[in-house]
Amino acid sequence: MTNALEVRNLTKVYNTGKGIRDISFELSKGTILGIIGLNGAGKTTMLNCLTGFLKYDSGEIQYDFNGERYNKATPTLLDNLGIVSSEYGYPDHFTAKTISHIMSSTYRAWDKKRFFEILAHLDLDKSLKTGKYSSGMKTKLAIAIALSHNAKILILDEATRGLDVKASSRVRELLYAHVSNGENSIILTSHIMGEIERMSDTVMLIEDGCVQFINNKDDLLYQHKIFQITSSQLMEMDKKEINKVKREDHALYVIAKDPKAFGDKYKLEAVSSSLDRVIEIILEGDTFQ
Amino acid sequence: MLSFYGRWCYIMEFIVNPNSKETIYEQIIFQIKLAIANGELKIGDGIPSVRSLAKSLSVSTLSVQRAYSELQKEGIIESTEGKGNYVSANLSKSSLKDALIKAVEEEAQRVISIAKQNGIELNELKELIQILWEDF
Repeated sequence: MTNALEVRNLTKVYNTGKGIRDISFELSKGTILGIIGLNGAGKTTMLNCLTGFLKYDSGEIQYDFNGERYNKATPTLLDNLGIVSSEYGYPDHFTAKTISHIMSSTYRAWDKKRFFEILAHLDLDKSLKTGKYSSGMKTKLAIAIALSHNAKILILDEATRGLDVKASSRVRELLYAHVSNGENSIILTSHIMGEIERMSDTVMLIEDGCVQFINNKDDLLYQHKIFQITSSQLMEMDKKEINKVKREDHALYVIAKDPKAFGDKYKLEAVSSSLDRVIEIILEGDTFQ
Repeated sequence: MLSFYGRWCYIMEFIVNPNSKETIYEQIIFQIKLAIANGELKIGDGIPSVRSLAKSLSVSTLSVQRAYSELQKEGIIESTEGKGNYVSANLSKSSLKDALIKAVEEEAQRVISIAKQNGIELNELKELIQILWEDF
């Protein structure tokens, strides 16, 4: 199997009615999947199902590590997953050294040398008590741990919280290095669109607990080129050609169903675009009536 | 597109434009073909690994992979376990020339289309091309 992970019809619904429904996707080995969506859309619920922290109602989760398949939250599974989330719970007097000691009993493949190398690379003092950590330091520690036990899949939920530009850059380098062997994979969520846009191979949008789309990042941007037009131009257009329209006070933006044909027909050039502008128009734009 | 890096090591550089009418993978394919055609890349020369090119350009590895797969299908590059991707010895100049001519043809179509839309006559266009060719 060339997929590190396959998810089929995953459903987990809370009493409130919120949750995730029928989520299906595949994570290819050696790739980075970026998951985006509003707060409350279901990203964290889904990740918690993947890590085994949350019991799901129905569906299938199938991991493939070294040709062996796993679908339960066993210790072996957790050995192979590197998890970074906003959960953080170490006693204040622990230092990174203490934590390394504990991790060596927790993980089968704990690599102490690598752990301290990463901490040094991220400028984190291994003798500082965690009670004194800033939020950025907590993030750095979590990332260092996730990268130090030979995890095949990293699951990073808002993993750059509190990191400054330099630290983010270092973390990015570490993450790229992690997948460069073509076997390791990463799932990451972030509100920092620039990060998702830059790092992801595949992008998935979750809205109201469902997968809105999942696509190769470049194809996504290519198929959702943004054109800037005027209202009178819009009136001349066929509604069948238009996917979404977004009105700003003094400008009008459209995403066409076939950007190449649309651009050629109306002799328009697409404006310089970014993932967050595309998502904004998809989520907040209207269909053309 | 080749730049000198370090003492003796040449590194190939790419430029991609996310706003182009061509997709990312099409741009990559074309640049590799062009580099081979103008001698910057020779038979046996290595091509960047999928991940390293994707990372350099901030594009999806899936796009790079697709470009490389198509180039492999056309016999222009080869891939071996451990050695990575490199320019194929079986590459026929003709397979490349076709690609180049096709590329030039596509550009010419665009130029002709713009000329026609703007009422420029064929002889004006020919004159323009002549001047530009001589100036180049």
